[in-house]
Amino acid sequence: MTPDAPSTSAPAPESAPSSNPLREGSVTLRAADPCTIVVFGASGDLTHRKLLPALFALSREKLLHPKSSVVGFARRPLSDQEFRDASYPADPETPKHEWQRFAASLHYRTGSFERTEDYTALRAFLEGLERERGASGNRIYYLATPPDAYPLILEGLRAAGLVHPAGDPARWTRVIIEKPFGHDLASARALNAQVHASFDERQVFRIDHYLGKETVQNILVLRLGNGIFEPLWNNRYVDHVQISVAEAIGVEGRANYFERAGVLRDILQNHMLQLLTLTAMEPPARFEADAVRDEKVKVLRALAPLRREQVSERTVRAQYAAGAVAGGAVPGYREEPGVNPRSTTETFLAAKLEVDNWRWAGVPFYLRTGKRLAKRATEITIVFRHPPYALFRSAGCASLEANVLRLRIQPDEGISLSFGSKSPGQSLHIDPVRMDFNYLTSFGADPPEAYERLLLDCNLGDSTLFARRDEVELAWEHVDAIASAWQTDGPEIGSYAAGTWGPAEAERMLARDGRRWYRL
Amino acid sequence: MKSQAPAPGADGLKALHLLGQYGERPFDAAAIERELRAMWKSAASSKGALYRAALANVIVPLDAATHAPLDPVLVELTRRHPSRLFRLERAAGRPAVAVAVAAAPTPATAPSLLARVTALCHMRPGGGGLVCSEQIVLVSTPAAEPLLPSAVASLLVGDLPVILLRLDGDREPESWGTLEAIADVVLEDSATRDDAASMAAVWTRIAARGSSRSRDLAWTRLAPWRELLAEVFDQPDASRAIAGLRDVVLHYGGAAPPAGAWLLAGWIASRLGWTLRDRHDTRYRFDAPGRSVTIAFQREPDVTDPLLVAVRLRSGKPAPLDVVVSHRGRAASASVEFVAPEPRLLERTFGYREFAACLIGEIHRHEPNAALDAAAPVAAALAALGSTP
Repeated sequence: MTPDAPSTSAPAPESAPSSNPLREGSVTLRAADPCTIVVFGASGDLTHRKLLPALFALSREKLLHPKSSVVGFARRPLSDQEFRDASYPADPETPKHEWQRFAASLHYRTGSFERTEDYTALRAFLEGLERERGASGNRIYYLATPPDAYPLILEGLRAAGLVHPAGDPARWTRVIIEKPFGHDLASARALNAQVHASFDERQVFRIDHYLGKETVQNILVLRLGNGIFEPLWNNRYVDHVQISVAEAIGVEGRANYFERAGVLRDILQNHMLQLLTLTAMEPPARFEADAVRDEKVKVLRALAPLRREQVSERTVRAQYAAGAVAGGAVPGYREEPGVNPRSTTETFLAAKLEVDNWRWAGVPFYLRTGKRLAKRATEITIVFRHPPYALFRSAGCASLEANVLRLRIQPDEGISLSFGSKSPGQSLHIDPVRMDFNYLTSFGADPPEAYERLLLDCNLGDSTLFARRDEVELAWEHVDAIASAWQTDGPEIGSYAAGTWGPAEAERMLARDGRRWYRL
Repeated sequence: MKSQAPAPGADGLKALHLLGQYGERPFDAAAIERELRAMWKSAASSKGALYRAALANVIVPLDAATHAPLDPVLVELTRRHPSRLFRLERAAGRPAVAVAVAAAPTPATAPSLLARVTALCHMRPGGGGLVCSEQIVLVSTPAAEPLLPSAVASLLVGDLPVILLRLDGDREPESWGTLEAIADVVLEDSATRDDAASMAAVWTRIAARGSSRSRDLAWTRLAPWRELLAEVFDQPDASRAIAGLRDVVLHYGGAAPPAGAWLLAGWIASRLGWTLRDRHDTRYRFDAPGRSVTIAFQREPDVTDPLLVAVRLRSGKPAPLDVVVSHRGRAASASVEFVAPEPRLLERTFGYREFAACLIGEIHRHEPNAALDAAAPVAAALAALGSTP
């Protein structure tokens, strides 16, 4: 049973019998069950930068059950107190008593991911802790480690009896797995097989933090919660779609991982294809996990695979050279510490994809992502067709700007719509103007951190914002096709100066279609 | 207000930054807008990044009893739902006697409506500026109360919903009527009423206006109880018992059944299609399809706070059920004890919500609440029968 809680809006579970008259006519909200969140890789950057602040925020908002605990598990020897001290928020305005309350629920266990006895000891510790706190044995295992540790941890959990089967009425077990989920299709399938040796798919939460962003969730609300957009959301009115994920940072100490991944695997396989599916999917029958994910999977199935001979024409890959970003000089990619001086890993990628279905036939989806670009910005740009007849041509206004709907995912989260308007004056001049919605000025608050939402959803058992097995594997199919073509017939890796918007070839790719990238 | 009144969040007050603090002066709508503009201008130059935000107009009449406990709630409200806040205060030392509009004193004889403006600002999480709500305080003598609605109307932010928080039960119907006329939504709290008759009046108003316009925060507070009771019948061995439910006992603290108990009884009866027949001693008898059922209120002498503390549900053959759902105060968990068919004790999460959370939840609700619409008239009818043996 999961009663009401403030600020959560997850619907009641579908399993509730519809014949229960006490359920009729009321929307029930759910509170998080007490649970123990075990974070593997607890001494790492992700844990301290994202996970613990998100859990603390949930605790402050009283969205974590007071009997819940957080247990860090990692190789580095730390005491509970050292772990708590290392987790103390940097924000000087942190209310001390709230932190103390949360810190009392933080624990740390030193252990090796390889050693069976460490999992056995962890099990004894968790059982003791849950007895002490009166918790029921619900658990979330968060794999915040490098991906090569996933198989070890999954096996360790299974062997130590730390996984309760799905459907256990007394307690539940869930696992959150960070991206990257595999390195290619084969490794993703192998990892999925290993995950499913211990967990049912209902227990698996593959996290892509982009899906926790308020603005990403708002894509569906904008499209399907309003009457004016969805009728235009098709090839009759949309000329093309641009999805841009631009980063100003470089590899930032992740050279070892990034050298093997590149932006193709690091960004396109997950964040960008998630944004594409949410933009292109059909309305689900119901707003619930599998109905939404079924529609996203259909988009991935409809995504036309790039044929080997198309890859040179429809993709651009490049590496950043030395330049200046935000007023500071930065080295080129090959000069970054840990990067092979002859590396051919792409730090920029542009691609033209097509969704072969009734709604989107003939509408190109242009994707671009890169590191060390001019600024950090993520945006989905819907560019509408021009009106069928240029009524104002005679007044010298033949080439009006297209109407553009921009969904700004980060930063300055919001939505804007540009359209033409007559400039004030005696003559007829038409200028583009913009209607703006901004989260901060409209709602007076910044959207919550993505990890807060995702951790809460996992605690509530709602997997809508997590990737399903088939979604992940289909995304890898597309990525593998591009990667394989690049290896054999693909375009030579180009170069762009850090601090620019990428190589000229990316501009040329759109120019060939009579289009241009919109500035972020 | 009774003890169920909101508990302040100390951190909300700590994070608050007040801007403005212009002195009180006779009400002048144009002057107030000018002062607000001047306040923003000077604040922007001296306070750094500052965002003026408003998602609603919120009107809050306050009296001596509601003033202090509501202050932190309003601060929290502006933190979580920035609004233009209208505080309608009474001038100190004047008796709370209202007069008809026609008898309102003229400004020349008694400039009894005063105003001051401030802003309630909150630091953005993680820093980087303040998000501010405007607060307009209107201080009236009783004689000037009839002027308040027109004063408020002249300062409403257009295109934003108007929420009236009606917790001050002492004002005269004329004042409320005109304030309610300009409000899109009226939020009341029957738990702040002292007797069953005035609670019933709240529910009668809701029944008359419908829940799209009128809500009861005591109902909002009941959400976890409703959820727990509904889930009892989601249990496989209990789902068949709902059609044979014959006896419901609501255990409460305090001297008389609290608003939540009446509302919960109204909800159960309305959801299950029971028709109120009469009251017999402490039991209220209902006609249900093919049988008679009762709802009783039982006082728990050891509980002094006016709260619902337990609900017992019993049904007979062919699916016998005896279950007690208990919860105390602000505990995070409730117990669900099945006596029959199989004895077992379950501990369940109880989503207790603070006053501000209930308030904001209702402001965010845009649809009618069918369950409240059905429960309110039944609760009113029950309360009208009284509870004194």
